[in-house]
Amino acid sequence: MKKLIYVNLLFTKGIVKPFRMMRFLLIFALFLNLSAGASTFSKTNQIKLNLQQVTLKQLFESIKSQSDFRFVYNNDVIDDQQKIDMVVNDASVESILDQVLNGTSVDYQIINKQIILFKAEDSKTSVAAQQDNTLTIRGTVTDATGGPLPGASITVLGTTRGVTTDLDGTFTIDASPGDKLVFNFIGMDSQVIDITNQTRLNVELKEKSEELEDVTVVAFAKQKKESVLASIETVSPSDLKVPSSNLTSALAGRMSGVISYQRSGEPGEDNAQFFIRGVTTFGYKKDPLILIDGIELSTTDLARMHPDDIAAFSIMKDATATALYGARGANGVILVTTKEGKEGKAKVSIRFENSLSQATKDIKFADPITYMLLHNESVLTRDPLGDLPYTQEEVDNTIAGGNPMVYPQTNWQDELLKDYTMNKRLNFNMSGGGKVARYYLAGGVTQDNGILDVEKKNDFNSNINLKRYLMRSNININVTSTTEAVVRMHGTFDDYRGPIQGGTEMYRAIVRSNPVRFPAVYEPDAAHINTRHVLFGNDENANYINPYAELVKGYKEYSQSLMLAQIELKQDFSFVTEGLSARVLGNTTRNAYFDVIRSYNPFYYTVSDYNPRTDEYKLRVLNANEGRASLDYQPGDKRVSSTFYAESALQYDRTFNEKHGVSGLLVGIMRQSLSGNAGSLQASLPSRNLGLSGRFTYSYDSRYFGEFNFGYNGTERFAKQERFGFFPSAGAAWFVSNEEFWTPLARTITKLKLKATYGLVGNDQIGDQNDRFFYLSSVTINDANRGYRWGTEGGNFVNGVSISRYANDLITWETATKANIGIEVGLWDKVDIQADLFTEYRTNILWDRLSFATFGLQASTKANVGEASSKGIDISVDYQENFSNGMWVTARGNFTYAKGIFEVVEEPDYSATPWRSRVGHPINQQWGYIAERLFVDDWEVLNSPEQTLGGEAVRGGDIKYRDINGDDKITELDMVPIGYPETPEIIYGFGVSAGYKAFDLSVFFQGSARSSFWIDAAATAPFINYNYNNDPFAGYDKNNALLQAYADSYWSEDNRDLYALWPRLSDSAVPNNTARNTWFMQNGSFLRLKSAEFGYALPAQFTRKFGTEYARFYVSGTNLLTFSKFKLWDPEMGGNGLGYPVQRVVNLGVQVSF
Amino acid sequence: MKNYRLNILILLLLLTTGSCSYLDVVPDNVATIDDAFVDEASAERFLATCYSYLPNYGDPWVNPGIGAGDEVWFNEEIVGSDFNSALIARGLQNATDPHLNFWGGRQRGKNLYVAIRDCNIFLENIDNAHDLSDIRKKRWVAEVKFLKAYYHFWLFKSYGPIPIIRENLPIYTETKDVKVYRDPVDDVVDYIVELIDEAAVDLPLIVESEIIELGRITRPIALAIKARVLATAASPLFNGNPDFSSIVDNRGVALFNATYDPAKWQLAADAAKEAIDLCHEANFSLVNDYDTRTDISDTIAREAIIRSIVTDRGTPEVIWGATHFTFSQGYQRMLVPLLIQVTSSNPVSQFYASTLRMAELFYTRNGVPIDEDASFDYDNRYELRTAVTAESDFVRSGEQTAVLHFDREARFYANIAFDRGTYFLDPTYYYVQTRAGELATKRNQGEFSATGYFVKKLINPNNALNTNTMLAYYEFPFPIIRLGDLYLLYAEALNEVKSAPDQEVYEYVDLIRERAGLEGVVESWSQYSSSPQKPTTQEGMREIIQHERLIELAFEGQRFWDLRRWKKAEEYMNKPIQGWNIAGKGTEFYNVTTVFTPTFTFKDYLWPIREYERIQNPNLVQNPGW
Repeated sequence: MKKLIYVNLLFTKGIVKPFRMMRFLLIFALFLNLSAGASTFSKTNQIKLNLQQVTLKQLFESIKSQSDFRFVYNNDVIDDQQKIDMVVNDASVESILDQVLNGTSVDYQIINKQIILFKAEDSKTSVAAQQDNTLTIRGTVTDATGGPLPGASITVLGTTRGVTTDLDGTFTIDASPGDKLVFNFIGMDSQVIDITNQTRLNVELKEKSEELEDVTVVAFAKQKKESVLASIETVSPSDLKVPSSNLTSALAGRMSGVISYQRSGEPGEDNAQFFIRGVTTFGYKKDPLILIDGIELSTTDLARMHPDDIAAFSIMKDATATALYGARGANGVILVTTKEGKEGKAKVSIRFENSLSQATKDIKFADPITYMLLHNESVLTRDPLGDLPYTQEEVDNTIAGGNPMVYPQTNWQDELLKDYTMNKRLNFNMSGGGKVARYYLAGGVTQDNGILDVEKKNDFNSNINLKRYLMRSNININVTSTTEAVVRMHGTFDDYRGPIQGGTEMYRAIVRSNPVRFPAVYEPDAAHINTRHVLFGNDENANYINPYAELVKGYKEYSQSLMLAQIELKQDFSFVTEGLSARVLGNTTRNAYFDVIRSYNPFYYTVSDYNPRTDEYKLRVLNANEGRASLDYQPGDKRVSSTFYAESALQYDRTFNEKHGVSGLLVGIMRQSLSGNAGSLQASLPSRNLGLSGRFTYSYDSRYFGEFNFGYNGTERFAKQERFGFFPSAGAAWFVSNEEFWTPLARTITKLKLKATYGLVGNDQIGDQNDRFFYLSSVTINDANRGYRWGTEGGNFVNGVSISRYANDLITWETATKANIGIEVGLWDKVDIQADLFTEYRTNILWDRLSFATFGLQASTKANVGEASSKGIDISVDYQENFSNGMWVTARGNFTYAKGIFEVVEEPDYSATPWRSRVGHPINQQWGYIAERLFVDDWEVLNSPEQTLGGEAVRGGDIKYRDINGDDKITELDMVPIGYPETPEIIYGFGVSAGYKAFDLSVFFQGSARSSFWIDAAATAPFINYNYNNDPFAGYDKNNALLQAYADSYWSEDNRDLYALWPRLSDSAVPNNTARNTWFMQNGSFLRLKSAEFGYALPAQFTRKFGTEYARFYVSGTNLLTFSKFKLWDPEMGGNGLGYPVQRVVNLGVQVSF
Repeated sequence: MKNYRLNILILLLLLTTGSCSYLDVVPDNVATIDDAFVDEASAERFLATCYSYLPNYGDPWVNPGIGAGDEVWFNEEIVGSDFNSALIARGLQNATDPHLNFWGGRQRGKNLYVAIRDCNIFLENIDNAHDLSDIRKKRWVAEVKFLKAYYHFWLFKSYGPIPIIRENLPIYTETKDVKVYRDPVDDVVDYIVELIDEAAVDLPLIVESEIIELGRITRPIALAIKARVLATAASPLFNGNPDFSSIVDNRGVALFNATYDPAKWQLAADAAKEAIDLCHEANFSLVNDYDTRTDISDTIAREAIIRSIVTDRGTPEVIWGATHFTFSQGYQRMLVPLLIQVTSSNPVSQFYASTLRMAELFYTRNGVPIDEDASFDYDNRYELRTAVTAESDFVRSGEQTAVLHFDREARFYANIAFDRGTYFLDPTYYYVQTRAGELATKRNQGEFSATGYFVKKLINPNNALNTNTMLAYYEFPFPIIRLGDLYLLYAEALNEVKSAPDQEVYEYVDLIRERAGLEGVVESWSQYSSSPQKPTTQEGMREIIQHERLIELAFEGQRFWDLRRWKKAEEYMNKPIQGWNIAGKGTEFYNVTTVFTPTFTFKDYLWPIREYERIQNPNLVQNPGW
């Protein structure tokens, strides 16, 4: 009794002292184990029914839902019009069937939990005929792909007569018309065939369908679908098949509740960003927890999974779904289970795909002559006396098409980029097994190429070539009749060769290279005719970027591997008490990475002398000292890390008195990860999690469901007293359609379930990833940056001390309170609708305190002061229909809307300028200036509110901003919330698949809405020397390329277009125009034909010839069409249009199994 | 049997849930701030930390004294968008994100409030260093107190009234208590002086060993800086400046004292005298010789002396130099014009250009301004003249250059390199050729002089060139304060105190002039000047002292601050920045060309506080005009 009170306390306080809590939970677990009663209990035979006026089919469904039995019958056996009443308590299946079928012409037989129904009189009449008309029936037994099944058993129903098939799957059996033959094969559904007078019988057995349809994967366990009240979205692995070696690119629009977008198409760097139900936090960890076979892995690891290997893919969205993950589930969980072997003969399946990949949209750049003219204009328009980059003579000769070595016109895009590239993927899997062990083995090779065009100037090819190998083996062993061991091994290995700086950086180099300054390579002049090295073009002191030289001067190779070994032991404790089981799992994951760069230092040349009369030029080497023709080697990063994870669970599942379903689950986990290349002592310490979680469910009569979950978790990041957090959640559901009163509606609304959940989830991954221990200060005792040098020759250098974090032992868990209301509706057994309405309120979000320069702190101080809320809806609709002519159609649509807003933040007093406050605005809301138009001229600038953003003079043709606060100055105070967040608030998708005979076709559309993005005005500003963050080319002189769109529409003194796309030209960055503003704001909404596929499966008679069971050819594509208001580049790339483009892929594939 | 299995189960549960100490991953010896004061060695590191916020004086990007004034002009190409000090010179200082923001540590400014906080941390914790001897502790504490005062001073001269940070606030202080106010100018000055006085008592006269301790704060440094502080406070910008009289914060406190107080000059004079005497005691003296094995004329020797004042190693004149940020080869190559043909593509960068104004600033060889000397053809100063052999110490004989470049005092030739001028790098006499297309013109992007002039003063005559790159023989600590500066400060303050200048005032100016090879003020003016009575009036003498100061301390980063405290910046900084026509070939070079026309208004005297700071803390009133 005392303990119960304690539980109440837990609820109200939320978090309790760790030690007492831990002890309590252990005792509680013990109690649970011991008190489970010893009453014997027959698991499947006790059926309870209360049915009025139902058909036999509905009756069978009810029995099925309460037992493990499955019904097998031909439709003409059952009279679908007949209505019966059935009220029984604790009856066996046999007794019910006897009762129902009494007086009908239907008889039944139970084989292996399958209830086979057949016309009784046939069997009776046949007895007489048996002697007379014995037929010898020959035939084959095959599986769904047409492959023969040797060893299948065929028995005559009601007798002991039987035969088995031979190696070719053929059989011969004697039977009489009216007999029924039962076909059985391990791992296959049994089939019963009525014998009339046929002598040839080819039977195709269907694989035993996995129980997935009836069972949903939930945290640490599986649960009967009807009893799941958490918001969990399950997606069929086949929906994730896209012609890409990146699974994450398939997520957008496939599942309700997932917000996703992909910004880059570079092989190896093309992971999509995804969030479950949007973003409600501002810490570093915003994306969901990814669990593959229960193990936390990274987005990249998810990206590399083959859909063929996935058995179940689910998204856990609300508090009850994620509560058991406690510390780590606040941002939702993606749970992937891989396939396991099934009893049966070996099955091999091979899939090969070859795809053609190209940018979804080609960006148009101005031609070199326009570039030249506008570059000159960009200088003159700002400073009439400025130094022109090109003399009139150069301009004239370039226009006239003078010697291309002297007056080059280099289209770097054409020079370095291919229009398309080819990628290949091959994967195979093999599965099977017997009574003792089952196996699933899979392997795959993919090769992705970049779109860089590398000439054969060198022996090596530095285009991106990323090869990935994957290997997976899942072995299940039945150690005893109640003990199962599972061994899973998994490895992925990447081998990459590509440009030194990577594809994106190469891309950025190309769009920052001057097209008219020098050619990629000079044709040798008389003096260099025998020079063996390549004469790369450059200028001045070889400080310009020559992307061609950058590309061919060398290459980088990296090798990355992930190894994962896992063992799981499952023990059924039914002999202790019915319904009790336990399992233990141990896992270790190892990551390793290294790279090597081999390159030479190119010799750069320029034209030193040109004689226009003879058209002869002389070359001069620019870097005779630094250049080198021989390769050099440079070791790169070497990164290793290891993770250990252990989990043990105790599970209890039982139904009492046929009505009271009770289940319990207790899970303990521990996890440690360690990195071999930590940057500091604190970062080098292991990251650890410790947790105990539980779930207790109760269901009454398949109508009412209740559930309580908790996660009790510890993290090493917080001070001792804050280290553990307790996160409870609870939910309830009402299966309305299982109510008696629903019966009249049962044919149209076949399912109706209402559910609601509420609970807390925690998050310890707050602040910054490297900010490991908030309760400790971080001090660098020997910091050279804070050192000082004394002495006549400055010889006495003493290091200094710096502080990068101030200790705060009050920092604690970020907590999300989540509520979810859901409804599940089934219509005519064809349409399935799930809708969830959710709200979330996060508190204790780590937030930088206001910083005051005069306070003199070296690092910002943080506290759990932030609060944010979010709400939204996600809906999915499924439709499935099989027509009698063999045609099938499925359609699926889903919609997610999620919006997170700030509720409480620490910010300055904005009462005078309320538009500056973040409160009430979306978490990714952008603030910026409102652009009115471009200034007419310099006079207007002088007569407008003072506008000196970035401290630079503003001219006519620059952007004019609105003075919001009316102080006659444009300052930070005039920034207002503009646009939607960059992360879309709405993601939706819809698609249809249909098949007829050997053909199948599917199309899928995906879209996003309510997002904005900003053309990166600094990165796209023509002519300027722009540096990205951590730019490997920061030391070079660069000239941004000129977008054709800018060349077509810009403000100039001759054409004062006040609404031109681009403001007054400049050859240096104009901070006024690059400040975040509405001028460059774009609508991020788009709709695209995300994927389409057309397939053709070879008829069985053909496949047989080639010794295969099944062969299908298909054409598929992704990102085929895009509809968007934004035309410059693919809108999904956001403002970063000059990065490696998102790819459109057209794919040819073949899938064969035997 | 049953129990046995259950026990296994419980064991398994225990195994994975483990014990709570599983999460104690942090070992005991992780460094915290307490570790910074456990012993003498670590405390010394914190001492270095307190020093480390001293600005990088020699860096033109950072030192407004070099880049933000009108002495040196950097060409547009090199300035780009992040040459913060040069952007200030171009009138682009702003409140949104101020350049050289020493208040908040942005845009190349070090965060001096972090510096002050570290000084306070040092002062609060130094007693924990158990093995530190009392004598040493006293000295270190005094050094840190001085640094704390100096950081306040740097902020004060840039921003005027500033919040004084006497003690650190605890890290977790309520926000409202962190919102400090700016303290009035007089309080700030009083506090700075009080701290320096406290520190001076415990500071040594000289360091124990220059080879390891040069640059450590000594008593002469403290007193010299105190003299500068008081002279700044007594100067027109802060002493009863009517322009700022209306600046009141939101409590109603006036931040500037609107009344002129002559006593402030007396304080400055006393402090300067005290500092001078102490410096003499510590054997500081004016640099007055140049050792060489080369047979050189007196005029070249005089030039070499002047070029040695701050660039020599162990110079007896520099009281305090920035030992942490030596004026290294990387900087010196910005000053040297290309004097010889080389193979390397960028041996020197030569963009550190003196303005024409500076070339006109120096006296004639008679020691009076060029527009006052009747013997100097002032009106035709831009015309050409051919140098005769006797003038080859200054100009390559037989070559033409502007009249302006002839008959000037030694400091002119020591400070500025001009076209056809002699460039002495012991023992070689090079000469500068900087007309369009010649050696010392643009080679690479941004690597050229915007005016056709170069700065010579910071290049020691013992430097040498080779065919690849200039060999920097000397890397010297950039001077922060030197004896010559003190002499002139003393004369300046004294002149303000006395009703009319007397011998006491002349004495220290004349010492400086003597070293430059010039006669005394009175002698020179009476003999050569068109206004011979000038030295006899307080006003005239003020002008002379100021002129002398601008000449003597040229290119040392002082002019920028002096023009401000004298409230003369508006007069100078609104005139066009001029140079020669660097695009001109041959003698077309000799056309005076305007490089830039700056604007300067009263608001530019004090820098803006970043708007962001004022949004965070509305108690900080903005400086006028921003």
